[in-house]
Amino acid sequence: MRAVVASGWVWLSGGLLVTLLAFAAPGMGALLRSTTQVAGNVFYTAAVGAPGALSATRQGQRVQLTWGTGTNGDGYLIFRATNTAPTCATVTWTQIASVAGINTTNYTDRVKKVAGQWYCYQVRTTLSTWTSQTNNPTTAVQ
Amino acid sequence: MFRKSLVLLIIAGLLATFALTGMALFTSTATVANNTFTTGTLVLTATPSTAAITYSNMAPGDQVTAPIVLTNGGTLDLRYAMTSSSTNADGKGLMNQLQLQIKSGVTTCTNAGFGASGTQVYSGTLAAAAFGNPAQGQQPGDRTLAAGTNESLCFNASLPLTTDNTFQNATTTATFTFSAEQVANNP
Repeated sequence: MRAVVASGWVWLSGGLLVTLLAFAAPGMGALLRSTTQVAGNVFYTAAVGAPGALSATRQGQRVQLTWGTGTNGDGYLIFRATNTAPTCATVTWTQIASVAGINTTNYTDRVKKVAGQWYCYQVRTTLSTWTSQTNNPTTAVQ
Repeated sequence: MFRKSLVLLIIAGLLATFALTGMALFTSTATVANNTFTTGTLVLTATPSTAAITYSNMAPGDQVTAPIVLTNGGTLDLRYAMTSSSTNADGKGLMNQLQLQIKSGVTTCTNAGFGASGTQVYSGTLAAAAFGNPAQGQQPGDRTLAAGTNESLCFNASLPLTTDNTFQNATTTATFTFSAEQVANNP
C-alpha cells in the first residue's frame, strides 16, 4: 500500500464521529496512459539455391567444369574428391576454388590424369558465408 | 395575573409581527464565474505505424537502418518505455540471431550514418528488444517527451557474419510497443 489518498470526518445521525480512509496500492492509480505499436517489421533470410546441372570435360591436363546458375547467391565454391569408381556419394570433399559472381558458371581445374582414378566435382552456390545446402550437383571424370 | 398574561400576549404579538414583517434586511451576493478546469491529454504516436524496419532475402553481414519517430501529441509531458514481441513460426529462432541496436540523436539514420553519432538506447537480440519499463512510475531507461515534442529513434538490425546455414530461409516479424504514462504526479 502506498499512500492514503483521501480522508474525512463524517457525522452520523447518532452523533458518532467516524473517519473514512481510502487507500491506493502502487499501480492502481488511474493515471493517464497511451500505447502505440509499430507492427509488421518483417525480416526474412535468403534461401540459397543450388547450381544447375554440372558437367566436367577432360581436356588434357585440365578439367573444364560448367554448371547452371544458382539462385540467391553471389558466387560458387568448387569441391573435388578422388575415387576409384565413378561414384561420388561417399567421398570426402575438399574445396579447391571459389568463383565470384552468380553468373560465372564455369571453372577450369588443372589436374593430371591418373590411370584408374576418378575425379569427383561438386559445385555449391554461396551467399556471404552461406552455401546451398541441398541438391548441390556432382559429377565424375577420369 | 390577568395583567401579566395580557402583557405576555402583547409581547408575543409584537414578536410575531416583527417576524413576519420586520426581517427585510439589506443583502448582497457576489459571484465568481468561469472557473474552468480542463484536463490534459496523453497521446503518444509512432511514425511509421507499421513496417518501419524490414529486410527481404537477408544474408550474413546484411544490415538495415531506419527511424521511428515518437511524438507526444498530447498536452501533458509523458515518459515512455518500449517492449517488443517477435514471431518464430518456422522454429528457426531468427529473432534470437538478429542483432538490434537503437540509438537516439543519430544525425543520419542510415547504415552508413548509424555509427557516426547518437546515444545507445538498446543493443541486443531482436527477441529481447526493450528499454525502460512500462510499469507505473519512473524506471531506469524510461524516456521522457515534453508535450508537443517528438524524438527520432534510429533502429539498426543486422545479421552477424557468423550466422550459420540453419538460418537460411527463416522469417520473423517484430512488433514494437511503446507505452507512455503521465509524468505529473507520477514519481
